[in-house]
Amino acid sequence: MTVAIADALVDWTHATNESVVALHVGGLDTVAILGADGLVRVVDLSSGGSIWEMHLPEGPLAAAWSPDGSRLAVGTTHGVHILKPGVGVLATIEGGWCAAVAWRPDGQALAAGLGRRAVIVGDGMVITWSATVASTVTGLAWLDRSLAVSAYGGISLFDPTRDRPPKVMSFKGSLLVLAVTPDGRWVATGNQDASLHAWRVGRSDDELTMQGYAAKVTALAFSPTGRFLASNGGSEVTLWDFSGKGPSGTTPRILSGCTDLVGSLAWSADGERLAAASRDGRVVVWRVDSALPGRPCPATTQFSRRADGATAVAWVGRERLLAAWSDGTLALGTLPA
Amino acid sequence: MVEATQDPSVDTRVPVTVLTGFLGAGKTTLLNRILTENHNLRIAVIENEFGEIGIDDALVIDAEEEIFEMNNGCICCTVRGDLIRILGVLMRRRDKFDQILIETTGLADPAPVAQTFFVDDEIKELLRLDSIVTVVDAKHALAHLDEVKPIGVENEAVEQVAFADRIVLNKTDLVDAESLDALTRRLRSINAQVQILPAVHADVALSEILDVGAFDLQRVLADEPNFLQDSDHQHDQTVTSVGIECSGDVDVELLNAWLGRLLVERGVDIFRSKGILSMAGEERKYVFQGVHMLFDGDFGAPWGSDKRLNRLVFIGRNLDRAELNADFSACLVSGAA
Repeated sequence: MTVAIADALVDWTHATNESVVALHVGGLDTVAILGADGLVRVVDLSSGGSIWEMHLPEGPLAAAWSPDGSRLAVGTTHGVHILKPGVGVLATIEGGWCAAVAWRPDGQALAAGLGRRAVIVGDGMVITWSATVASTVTGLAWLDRSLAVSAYGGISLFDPTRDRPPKVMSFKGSLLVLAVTPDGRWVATGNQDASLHAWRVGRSDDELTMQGYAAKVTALAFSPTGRFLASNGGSEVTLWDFSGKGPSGTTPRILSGCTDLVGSLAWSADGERLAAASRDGRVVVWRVDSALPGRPCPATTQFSRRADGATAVAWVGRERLLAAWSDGTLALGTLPA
Repeated sequence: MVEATQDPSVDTRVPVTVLTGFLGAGKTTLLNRILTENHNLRIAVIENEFGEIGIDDALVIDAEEEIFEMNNGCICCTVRGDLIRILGVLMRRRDKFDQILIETTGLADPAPVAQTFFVDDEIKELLRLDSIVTVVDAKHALAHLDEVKPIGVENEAVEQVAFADRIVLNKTDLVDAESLDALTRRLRSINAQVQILPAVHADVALSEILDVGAFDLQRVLADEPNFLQDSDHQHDQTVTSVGIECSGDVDVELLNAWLGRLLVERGVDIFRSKGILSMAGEERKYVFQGVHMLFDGDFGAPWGSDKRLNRLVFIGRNLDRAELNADFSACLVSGAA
């Protein structure tokens, strides 16, 4: 189908009837699209054609492909669904707000937030472990075999193989989003009070807060090497350098080019470029090596722009960029490195 | 009287009505009436108390109250984390709502609900707090209001009356005229300006409670007939209203210093504040309102032929009328008063 796009970089577009809230690139050259009203659609990345779809009874909040790309976990306002594209629903576990899902790296278990509980769903599609935290779970991440759970008041680090209390990294405030470096050395959260907080895992004295954001921080993305943490929190993107001793006392790189709130961030597979989707309809790309601390860095490329807000962005490898908008449009383009 | 000014950009934000009141007062009855009445509005309801509403046309979402403190140095600034999450998800759906109702539990503090609409940018952009409607049971309210709580524990019934823009005085058929009079006086002694709507089976006209613009700056104190009515102190009542009315022009710097100090020092005790002020050298009315320490002010319509008169209202705990009057008088340009 044809949709008017402002830009020449677009290879194909695809339309849905719902505001796209998230994109998750899977195996076999596919992407899962999540619509605000419950649409889950898998689209072929080479053609833009639809491969499979279903409608969940409620709106999705989070999703993740299993490491082997065979199953898609989708968290909704009511619980979590484990889907097998082409087949259907393998399991539905209700129990509350599910804004966080994370497959264990071996793919044999899924961690999910269910209201104030963090649960692990084993291979038999039943809950094999659960723990309750003080408030609704907002983020989950695996640190080797440990599970980091963020909620209002801090991060709890559980070892699900042992029956003992979690290590708590406390923070007085509402943590909205959780990110972990690939090596597991750092965890960071974006917060309701327009700040970012980071902890060195296992070093209770080593933590830092970055304030001064224009808005709450709802999107975080560590670069593939873990050197940079990209954060939203306004119409600019702020990059913190986590190399060496971390960003404490350093000046961040500021990426500019959007005029309204940035909502979604994604790194290219080689970590050289960062893409952002903004409420002003723009999807822009920065080449990170051209950004210097303390100086606003303009966008390298404006991928595409529509009248409605851009809601999600994702890279496919190094050069292909996917973006989605609240009018239901999805576009893929090739941006030569 | 202030005329509502027509803003050049009409406010298209979705109005949100907060429904408070003790268990058994008739909140659910009122909610059912709102939902079943033929008004052609698409309504979403967020419930903190499991009620017996079963209406096909309306979306009903259950939520568990989660109160979050904000890290902004303001000890009384709490917001409702559950509402931030749910409202965010509601607003991205394809079927847009005309009206959102939030039904709180009988024990809920209205302040975090109201403050949520002051501090979250995304919510402020898409939604507007329309009014706080408190349902009061004519037969049992006095007992609740007079209930003596341990030191440091709030009397929620008093707070809900103090915060209200509209009181639905329900079940008036169950009491005699004398009791009703006594209760009305008691309600007014807490909140002198509130509009009291007598009802049987919560049968109030919906136009009296929905989309009334009680938090609209341009309508501040526009329809509050009992402006200067003195609170007749009863018992050892601590929550009262203080109205100030006087002529004279206000010195903006003195006012800022006073209001700033007042809200920092007494913000915990001042539940709500509103005012229309005559600023020195300014043709337009200055209008403001606040919930605890959170404050919102702007210039409104020109005075035109209206008499330039300062009118302020504070509702709160342990308010000193003489002191507030004297402190405000000190903000007037010397000689003008």
